[in-house]
Amino acid sequence: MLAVLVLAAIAAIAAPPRLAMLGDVVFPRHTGPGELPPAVFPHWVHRMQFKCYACHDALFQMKAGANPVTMDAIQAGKFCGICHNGKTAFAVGFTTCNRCHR
Amino acid sequence: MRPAFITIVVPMLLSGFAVTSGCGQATRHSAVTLFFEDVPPPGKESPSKAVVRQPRRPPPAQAAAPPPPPPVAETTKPLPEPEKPAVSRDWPQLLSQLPRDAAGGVDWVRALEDKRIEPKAGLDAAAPNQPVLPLDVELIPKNQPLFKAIFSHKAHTEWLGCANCHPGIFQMRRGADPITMAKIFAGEYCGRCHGKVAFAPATGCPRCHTALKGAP
Ligand code: HEC
Ligand code: HEC
Ligand code: HEC
Ligand code: HEC
Ligand code: HEC
Ligand code: HEC
Repeated sequence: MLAVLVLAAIAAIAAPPRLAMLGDVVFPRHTGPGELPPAVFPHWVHRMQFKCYACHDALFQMKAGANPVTMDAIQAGKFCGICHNGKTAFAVGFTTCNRCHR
Repeated sequence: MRPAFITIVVPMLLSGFAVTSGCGQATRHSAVTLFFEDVPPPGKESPSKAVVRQPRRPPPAQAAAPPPPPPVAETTKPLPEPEKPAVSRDWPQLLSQLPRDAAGGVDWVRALEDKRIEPKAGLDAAAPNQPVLPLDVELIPKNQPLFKAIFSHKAHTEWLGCANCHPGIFQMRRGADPITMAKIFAGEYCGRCHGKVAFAPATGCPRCHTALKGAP
């Protein structure tokens, strides 16, 4: 709880301004609303680098909320973690929480 | 009175003479050697080296590496390789340079055509592209030929595979699906993507209804 509060504070201070774009998918917090902002998937930055069929439907179904994404699954290398592992894209770490949670 | 005059005025005259003779081209050497060591005779190089100031601390690259710390414990597993950092580009900067459509949104079809972006077909850089189908389907609403919509398979299959649409969203037969504008706005058929990830129906009329091009 305290950790989340602290992280939320860091996120609130350190979050740089973000572009809001057509295709941003907000993941509703499956653990209920908390202090940490919800995770956002921006399509624009991904479609510059991958065609739709690189993700759909092999990795993600084309429907908001249809994929059981959790932080545990990401860190186990599934869903976002297939790429966000420090090789293809930035890894999950204390300096990167606020790049997704914003 | 007199001794004071001598102790002040005579040294003043002497040093005045020495200083002025230091300015003359010919007499300079003898006058300057009076005050400084190591002055070369006229026309010769100075034997002393120029003083080059060093930074107070040597730059970090040249600093001697500290001795490695003594091992704390024996490890049986080899240490993991340091991961090479993920490549990162200034994506917002690239985004701002992409072509725009009439409504002001990014024209992804042209961005891809002009090779401003080169999205990969899969995680594996060698993954092959899925086939592009050069087939335009004309969707003509009953009694409203002006609102003919052109569905370009080419523009779509540059991005999407057949399985993204067939048979989940559309059947593979022209006119088989009862598409209407109301359903599109409600997020069905074309509205599964348009308005969510692809350009929005509300602002993109002339991109689908090409006869409306140029109309306000
Ligand atoms: C690659 C993007 C990404 C990064 C980086 C990331 N998250 Fe998440 N996170 C998600 C997604 C997607 C979800 C799933 C949606 C949800 O339930 O909120 C999620 C869910 C969560 C949840 C909800 C409960 C759970 O376990 O699923 C918490 C708490 C959380 N993240 C904390 C963090 C913290 C702390 C960090 C930094 C160490 C972090 N996240 C970094 C994408 C990310
Ligand atoms: C990097 C992977 C990735 C790529 C590439 C990608 N998507 Fe997605 N897409 C996602 C994720 C993740 C979601 C959210 C799924 C969820 O909420 O469970 C999503 C959701 C969607 C949705 C549902 C949105 C909603 O609001 O219901 C549509 C439609 C969609 N994508 C279309 C596309 C199209 C069209 C392209 C190509 C231009 C594309 N996607 C490229 C990962 C991707
Ligand atoms: C197919 C690989 C892939 C998948 C899957 C993927 N990403 Fe990414 N993502 C990338 C790449 C590559 C970048 C660009 C990273 C960079 O250049 O720093 C990126 C960038 C991002 C950014 C932009 C960060 C910023 O600072 O602007 C966010 C946010 C993000 N991803 C969230 C997610 C979330 C959330 C998921 C899962 C729902 C996800 N991604 C799944 C490859 C992927
Ligand atoms: C994503 C593509 C797309 C966009 C954008 C779009 N339409 Fe349509 N429109 C269609 C399709 C497809 C049909 C159905 C054609 C058929 O009957 O087979 C249609 C049908 C129509 C019809 C016929 C009656 C009906 O409701 O089906 C009208 C009128 C119409 N559109 C007006 C508009 C206007 C005005 C706009 C802009 C606000 C617009 N459309 C934007 C694809 C589009
Ligand atoms: C973005 C969605 C989408 C994709 C991707 C797509 N199609 Fe289609 N396709 C359509 C639509 C819409 C129609 C018209 C259906 C209707 O009128 O009800 C159609 C119709 C067809 C038809 C019938 C044409 C006719 O004149 O009767 C064929 C054949 C077809 N598609 C083949 C393919 C093949 C092969 C691929 C993959 C290379 C593909 N499609 C990819 C949306 C798509
Ligand atoms: C599976 C997702 C998907 C569906 C379903 C879909 N589209 Fe698209 N469409 C796209 C994407 C992605 C683009 C690329 C442009 C963008 O993202 O803004 C696009 C682009 C277009 C364009 C622009 C072509 C060009 O040359 O500029 C038209 C017109 C269009 N769609 C019409 C339609 C019509 C009409 C339908 C329904 C019959 C439809 N689309 C259904 C994803 C889809």
